[in-house]
Amino acid sequence: MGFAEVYKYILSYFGIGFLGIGILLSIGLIIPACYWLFTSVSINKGAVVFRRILLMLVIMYISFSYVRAPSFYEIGGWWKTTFWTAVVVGFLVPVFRIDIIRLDRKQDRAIAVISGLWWILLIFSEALLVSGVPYQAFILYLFIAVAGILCGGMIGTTVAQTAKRKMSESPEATTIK
Amino acid sequence: MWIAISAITFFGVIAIISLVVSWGVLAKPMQYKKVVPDIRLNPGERKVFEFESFCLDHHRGGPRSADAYSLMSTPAIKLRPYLRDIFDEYLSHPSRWKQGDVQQAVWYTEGNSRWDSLTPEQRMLIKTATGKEDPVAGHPVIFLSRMASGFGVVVRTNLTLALLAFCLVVLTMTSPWAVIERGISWMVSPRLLQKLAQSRLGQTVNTVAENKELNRVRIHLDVLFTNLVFRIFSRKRSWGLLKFTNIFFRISE
Repeated sequence: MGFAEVYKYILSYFGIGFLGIGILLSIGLIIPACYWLFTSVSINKGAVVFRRILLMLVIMYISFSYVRAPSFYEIGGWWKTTFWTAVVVGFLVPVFRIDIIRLDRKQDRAIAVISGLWWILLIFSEALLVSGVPYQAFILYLFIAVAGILCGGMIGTTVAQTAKRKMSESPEATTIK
Repeated sequence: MWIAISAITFFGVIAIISLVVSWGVLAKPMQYKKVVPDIRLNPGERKVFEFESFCLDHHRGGPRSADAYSLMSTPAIKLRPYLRDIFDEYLSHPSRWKQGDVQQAVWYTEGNSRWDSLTPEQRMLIKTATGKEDPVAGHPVIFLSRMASGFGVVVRTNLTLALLAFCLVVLTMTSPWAVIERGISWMVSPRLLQKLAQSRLGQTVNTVAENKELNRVRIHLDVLFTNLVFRIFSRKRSWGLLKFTNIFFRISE
């Protein structure tokens, strides 16, 4: 056995150890990450716009980098179209159903539920990947669609809330029937 | 106090290393360095090159018609144990081995095939090339590669999500430490949480959250967005939209 091979052997044992601890850490950290995500997604206090724009970027980054992984080569190129279509749908639904938006709520349950679904699909897909299921295109398309609805829904809800606040401030709003 | 700092530093370093490992190993041998072959053609000249190719990544989907092909050098020859031995054996005795058997032997070096599942010819090829029976079994380099291909994406995604969610809470919440504390309270003792809150980390989180410039950016963005929405939903349009939603509501009822 040459020097290079022995060197690779030793490095590999270190790599296995580090990756093993990394796996445990990633399993442990995903739960607080999920709590932090749900809290910041749903809360309606403070700088909501700033928070939701950053959240949208985070969800887009995580979803895109996950779906682009070499393991999911088989899903094809339609996931981007699916995502942007879902963003448009997610944005338009709260804007056109402005009547169901309530300004007095401290937490937005609908967005929290969608973010919970996004997280469950991510964990489910990761579990399938680890267990060696080769094709999971359906789950991935569902995941990317939910990610799109979540991103569009967050911005759409914020737009609808702002617009409703404007309408409720106006005295004429009460006279419309 | 120092134990907590040491523990955080230790796990932080491990998290960063595992992130780098999972990122790096995934990139190889999927992204090969492109090599421009020395092929020169004179005007009107035509040359035909024939290449015999083998698939190195068994779990990757079949090539699509739109996929581009290019000649590349691959670090897999150096990184993956026994791959060079199999190619050397095939190149030195091309008539002795079938291409299908060589392909199975190449996939065997990934570590996902069982020795028992191979045909006697495929086993003979591997044994002749490497000088060992079932050489992949227990090999640490192949085991690490399998671990990285199985868990690399998961580790990378989860650690990145945790890091970004942490930064998000610090940058956007009014009392970030309370949210962070509630998130990790299930795995850390209350005493350690209290020490963490008083430590430099806790102080830094609060300092960042209370930063005046950051607060100005938050407010400015909120005001800009509100103004934009107010302009879009100017009086006529907003009434139109409200009427539209009312009509929509009545029709649906």
